[in-house]
Amino acid sequence: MRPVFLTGARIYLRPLLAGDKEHAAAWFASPFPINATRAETFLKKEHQGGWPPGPQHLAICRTDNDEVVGGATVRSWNWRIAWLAFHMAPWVAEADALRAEAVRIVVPWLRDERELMVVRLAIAADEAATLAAAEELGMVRGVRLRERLARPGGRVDQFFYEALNPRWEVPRA
Amino acid sequence: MRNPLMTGERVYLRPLEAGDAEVFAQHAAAETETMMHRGREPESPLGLERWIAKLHEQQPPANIELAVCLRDGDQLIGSVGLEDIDWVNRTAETGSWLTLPEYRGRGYGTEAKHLLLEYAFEVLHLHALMSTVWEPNTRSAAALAKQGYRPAGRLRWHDVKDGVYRDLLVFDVTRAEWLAARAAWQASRRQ
Repeated sequence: MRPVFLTGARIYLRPLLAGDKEHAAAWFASPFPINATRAETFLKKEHQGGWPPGPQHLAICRTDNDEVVGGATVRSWNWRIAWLAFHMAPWVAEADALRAEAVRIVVPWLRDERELMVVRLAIAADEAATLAAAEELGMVRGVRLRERLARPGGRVDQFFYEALNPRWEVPRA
Repeated sequence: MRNPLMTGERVYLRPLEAGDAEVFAQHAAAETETMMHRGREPESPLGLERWIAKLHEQQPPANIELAVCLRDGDQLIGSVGLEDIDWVNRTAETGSWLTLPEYRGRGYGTEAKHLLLEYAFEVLHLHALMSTVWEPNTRSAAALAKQGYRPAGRLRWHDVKDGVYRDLLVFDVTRAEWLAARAAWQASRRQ
């Protein structure tokens, strides 16, 4: 299952599957341990509403071997404004580069094809490739939160970026 | 005082109890302020009771909401809270709302918010907090400055008011900034 519209050079994004419970550390957005039983419960709960879905969870996979290397979540209470979040597998060395590719795939899909009004994304100040991808896409840095994220030996800022869909632009009186 | 968690001069903070749902529903029905995102909304005590129950299900909690009560008489006048608590990065988002209009603009909210920040920084040892204000709500933006919050930016087109897009203003504060703001606030009260 590889959606043609969510596929890039090194990665693609797909819906979560029942078998993804076996490697939840890769896609579940938490640094705390999650075993297969809890992951299965989460997967059932998140999809019990059927269609249309609530938060949309996607696995980030390598194109060459289908390994799950991360997860993406799209949350929206009105499907006009959405928050996009990424979690990369803790063992992936090139996490920033793969996340940047995921941003390049998902943001245009949400903004241009699904025509969301605003797509928002939080990016750490030390995620250089992801920041560059956001700016290439025309996303605007709207917020800087100081010392927001803990890193070994210190803290870094976090930015909120936004992609505003020009199709929703209306003239102000 | 009933089950107090943090105590100030005029108000104290306590965990929300199931019976508070009925009181909050009554307050919502008597709301006079129309500035909220889409105006006033009636609240069912059934939904509020479920919300209160869910707050206490998760440990450690992702959200902490506390009742703001008067020390004199224990009356519930609003709530303050920490949302999206990140226990690894030690951050959270704060919120507050005095549900009884007659207590707004009289310093009760500032006192309650300082108690919340004291709880966040001195008890939970969080490092930084953020808060958001709906753009038209200039009174809340001014109130945040009294607790040491600084402007961090804005999220655009957050919602519509009076037929035009309005932004969400974002503020943040570190523990050191809050300590300085609290000292200034306490000094102003002694004068």
